[in-house]
Amino acid sequence: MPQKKPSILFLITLIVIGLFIIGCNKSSVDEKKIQQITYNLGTEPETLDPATATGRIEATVQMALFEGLTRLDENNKPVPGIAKDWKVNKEGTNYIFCLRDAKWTNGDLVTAYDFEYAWKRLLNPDTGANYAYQLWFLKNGEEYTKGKVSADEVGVKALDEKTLEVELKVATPHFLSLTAFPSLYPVNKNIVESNPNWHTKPETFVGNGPFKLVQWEHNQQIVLAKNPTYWANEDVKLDKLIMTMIGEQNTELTMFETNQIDIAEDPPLSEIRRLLDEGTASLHPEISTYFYSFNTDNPVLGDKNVRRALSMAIDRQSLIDNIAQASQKPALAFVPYGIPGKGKDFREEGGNYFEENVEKARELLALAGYPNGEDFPVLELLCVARGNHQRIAEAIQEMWLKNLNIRVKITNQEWKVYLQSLIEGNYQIAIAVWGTDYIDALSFMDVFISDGSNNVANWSNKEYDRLIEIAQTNDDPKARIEAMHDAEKILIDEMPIMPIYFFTNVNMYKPWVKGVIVPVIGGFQEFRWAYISK
Amino acid sequence: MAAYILRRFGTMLLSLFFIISLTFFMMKVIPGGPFSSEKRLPPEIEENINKKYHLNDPWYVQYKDYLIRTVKLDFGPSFKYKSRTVNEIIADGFPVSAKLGSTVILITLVVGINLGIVSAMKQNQTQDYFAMFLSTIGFSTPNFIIAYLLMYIFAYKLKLVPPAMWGTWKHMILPAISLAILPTAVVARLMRSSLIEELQQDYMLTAKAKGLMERQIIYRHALRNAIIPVITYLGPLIATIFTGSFIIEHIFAIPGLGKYFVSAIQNRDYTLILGTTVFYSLILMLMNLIVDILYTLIDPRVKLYK
Repeated sequence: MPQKKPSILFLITLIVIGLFIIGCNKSSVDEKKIQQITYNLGTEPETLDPATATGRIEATVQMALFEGLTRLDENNKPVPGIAKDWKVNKEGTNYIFCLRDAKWTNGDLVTAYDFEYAWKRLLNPDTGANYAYQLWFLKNGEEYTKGKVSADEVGVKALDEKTLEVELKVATPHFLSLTAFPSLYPVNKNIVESNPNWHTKPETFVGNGPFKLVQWEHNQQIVLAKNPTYWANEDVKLDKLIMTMIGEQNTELTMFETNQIDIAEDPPLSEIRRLLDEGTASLHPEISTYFYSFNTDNPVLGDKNVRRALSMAIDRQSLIDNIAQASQKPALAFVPYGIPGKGKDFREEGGNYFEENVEKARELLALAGYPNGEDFPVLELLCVARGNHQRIAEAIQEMWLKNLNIRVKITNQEWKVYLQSLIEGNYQIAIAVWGTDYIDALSFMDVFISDGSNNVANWSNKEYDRLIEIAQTNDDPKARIEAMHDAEKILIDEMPIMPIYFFTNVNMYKPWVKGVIVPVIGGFQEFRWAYISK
Repeated sequence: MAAYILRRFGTMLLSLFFIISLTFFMMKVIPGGPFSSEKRLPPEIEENINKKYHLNDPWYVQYKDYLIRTVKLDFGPSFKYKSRTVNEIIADGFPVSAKLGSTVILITLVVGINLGIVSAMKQNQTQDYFAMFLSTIGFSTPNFIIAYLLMYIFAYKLKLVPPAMWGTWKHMILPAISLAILPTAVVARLMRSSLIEELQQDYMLTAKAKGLMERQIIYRHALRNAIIPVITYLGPLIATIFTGSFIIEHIFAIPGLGKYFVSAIQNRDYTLILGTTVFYSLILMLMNLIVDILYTLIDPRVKLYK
């Protein structure tokens, strides 16, 4: 009599059959011959407006959509972009840029007026641009942002449609590289003035780069196509560039391994070793430093011997081999490799400024009044539960306990809370990262000047300040670098920070992807010269 | 009825006012602002930005602005996604989450109710144990584990479906199953226990005595009463599922609304926090109202108003 086995089994069968039907068409990405790359951007860009964009994600998209006066080539050297050539005066403070015949995607000519307008827009206090300070090298640039002078007094002027004159405050060696940076891209003056929301939709977006914006599906993907109005469009090989927004690392890896995407970055920590061993992933040096900041206002950490002892008592190579795993370089100084010095690499010229030495560390600790770590208070190590920060912190905690017999407590804070704690000096020891937007040792060294807004160690040293001032104002490149070498020696001798390692980026490219450039700063991907070859 | 609904709307507005106020003050209390980053900006630039976004205004002016925005249902530009407004973000994300959500609800109801019926009919027999075993697994396994497992098996190994992203119905299968497992388990259990109770009622005996088929007894008589607890559960469930899941949308790269409930707070995106909170509150309150009205339709004994 009773009705038997109602519908669950039936439903399950349905689902399974459904899945098999779907299975019948396989991805056709393998057969790809067309010039198309799918790159995982990872997340939605905050904006594509050059004036208010700030991050790595935004810069990657903007580099495809725009072109500045110059562009960085595979050696990170500025090569002519919209500027055909330029002249510099003897002091290095006055530049005359001569622009080529280049067009916006709407057919307008890219003029020197567009550059002048875009730069003043970046500096304008009403724009509220984070990166306004990127143009503080200009004469009166800083003053304009601070509301002290009018726009007319800023050191950038279009002499005619094709000529742009730039006046700098002091000779700035990296100024040409800076003109390749997204904040300094031109914008089409007429478009921006007539429609303030021009940058939000593909229909109204106007760029001047190798690619044009075709589609922007928020939180999903951005589709770019080769831009026929780009001045060197014959030289651009890619027809289509898709940037997906997959934020989850494991998902990204699955998408890469199933050929749904061609380029992926930052694989899950647990997979890095396998991917590197297989040759699926490759390493790219990144100019940034991982370190711990000591709050020098703390009575215990105010003692230089304590700071040095802590710094000398950890095994950096072991942290890299066992936790970070991406062949980072141990940092025994602050400025990373890859920044030019007097002739060679700045770091290679300077070398290591201290050594790991547990014996010596114990002596220093005894000298500070804590023989064998006795009576040393339990310090708090401020950490963020992201990436491998916590695992590294635990390993360091262990090393300090084993080598110095001192205990620290690890406290995790949410990212923005942690930033606030740093700013308020409300911590004892904290994890920290410093990277840069331009390749000059000064971008690292000026962090620790007294009262510097990012000098969260609250450290102050008169001689250091004096040397950095030389580096900021001296026109002689040799003397600048020399001053910065001396300053770094002081910084490391005083050790307000404990350098840990210099970063690398772990990227994955399908073997058919060629010509993508990864600049050493910011970890962008530059697709101007990219192509597919099978 | 109309008077009742009107009264309910009144209470909803009052609740909304308290929710907005609490959200506003909590937002202001958590440390860190929308524009703090690892590189601290020069103070003058910070000042310019705060001025642009009216963050320098006294708290009562900001509070007043928030209230006005809510009344107009125009939440202004997002602080994080500078080229988008909060209304646009919600309008883009909600349809996606709702589409996925309706699939999830469908699976939940069809599978959950049937599973519950089987269990109740075959109480303490193999079918019951099997169904309840499945339901226990559904209860105790976090949905992200199920998500990774499904992705590994069906996308990575078998290559039957795309691993992630949004577009075709194929993209919907894995996230929908991952999301449906827990509510299905809950519905199956609710259904089982209330149906067992219902089957012991006197009117069941009458129905059997009349010689009705078991199927008729269950579907026409018992189910109607037994489904009340499921409906109660369904109201808040629909509100939650339709507004998206942070973790599942993150894993499957789905452009829904779910991620913003968490990321807006992480980013201290004040306008977006307010927008998503108001939106979610409205949907939740509306669903509860609908559920209450549904009671009266299903069970004439229930009276909403006197």
